[in-house]
Amino acid sequence: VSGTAGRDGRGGLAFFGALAASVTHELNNALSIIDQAGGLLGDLAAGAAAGREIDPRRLETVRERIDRQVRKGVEIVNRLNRFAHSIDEPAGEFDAVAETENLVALTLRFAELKKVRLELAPGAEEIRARGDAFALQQALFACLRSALDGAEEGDRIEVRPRRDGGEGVLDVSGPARPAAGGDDARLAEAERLMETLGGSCRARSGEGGGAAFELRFPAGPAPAA
Amino acid sequence: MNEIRVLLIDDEEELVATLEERLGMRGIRAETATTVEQALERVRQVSFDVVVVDLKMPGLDGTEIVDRIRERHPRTGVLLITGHGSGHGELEQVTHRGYRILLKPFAFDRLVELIREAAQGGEAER
Repeated sequence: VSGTAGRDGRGGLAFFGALAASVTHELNNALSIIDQAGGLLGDLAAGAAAGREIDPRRLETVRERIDRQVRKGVEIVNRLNRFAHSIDEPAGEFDAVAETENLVALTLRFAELKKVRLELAPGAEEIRARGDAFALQQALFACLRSALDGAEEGDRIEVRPRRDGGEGVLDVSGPARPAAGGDDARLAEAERLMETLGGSCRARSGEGGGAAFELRFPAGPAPAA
Repeated sequence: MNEIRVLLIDDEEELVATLEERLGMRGIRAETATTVEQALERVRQVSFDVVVVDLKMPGLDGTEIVDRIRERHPRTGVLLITGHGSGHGELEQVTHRGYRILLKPFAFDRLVELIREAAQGGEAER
C-alpha cells in the first residue's frame, strides 16, 4: 500500500466503507425483489398444480421484474467493482470523467434519501489524468457530502467536469444554505487529497451564494477531435 | 380473527407489489405505499392492523414514520425491514425502539409469521 493521502489512515477506509455499505444496501433490495418474485412464481406453480389457471401475462410480468432487478444488480456490482479497482494503480493514468461518472452514480442513494437531485452535467469529454484515481474520488465525495449536508428536499446538486487549459476541473454546485457542520474538516481533507494529485480544492460562493467546490488537477492533452 | 390489513411501506415499488400479491394468496390484505406522503395519507384514512416499514425511506427515517402512524393508531403492529446488514448474519434483530427488524432478503414465511404475530397484539414487538 502506498503512502498516498487517500489510502492511509481511516479517511480512505471510511470513504470506502460508506460507499460499500450504501451499495450493498441497494444490492440487498434487488436481491430481495428477485427472491420474492421467484417465490411468487413458486406460489403460482403451486396454484397451477392444484388446478388453478395461470394467466401467461402474469408470468411474463414476474419474469420482467426479475430481469430488471438482475440488470440493476449487475450494474451495481460492476460500478462497485470499477470503484474497487480504482485503488489498484496509485500512479497510473485514468479518465477523470469516467471515474467521476461512476462515483456520482454510486453516491446517488445518499442524495435520494434526502430527496435531493444529484446530477452529472452531460457532454463532458474524456479528461486524462495521472495519479491516484481513488484520491480524486475521495475528494469529490467529501465535497458531495458537504453539499448534501446543506441541501434540503427538492434541491439540486450538479457535478460538471471541464477543462481549463492544462488542467481538469470538477465543479460541484449546490444549494444556497450553509452545511450543518463538518465543512471545514471535509474541505481540509479534500484539499489534502487533491494536493497528492498535484491539484487543489477550494470552496467558493456559487451563484446566489450557494455552496460550490472546485477541484483542479493536472490533465493530459485533450483527445484529438 | 378477521382478515389482517397490512400497509407495506417501501420505496422499492417492485418489492411491495410482489409482497402484496403473495400476501393476498395467504389471506392477508395488503396495500402498498412507496413514499412517506402516500403512507401517511393512507393511515389518515384507514386503520391498519400492521405496518411493514422500510427503515431507510427517502425523506424520513422509518422509525419516524412509525412514530407518526402510532400517534394516530397506537395499537397498530409494527415490523421494520431493511437492506442494511447487521454484519452478524442475523435474519432478524430488535432495534433500540423495541421493534423487530427483518433483514432483506428475508424468508417470506417468516414475514407472514411476524405479521400474524404483530396483528395479534404486538407479539412481534418486545
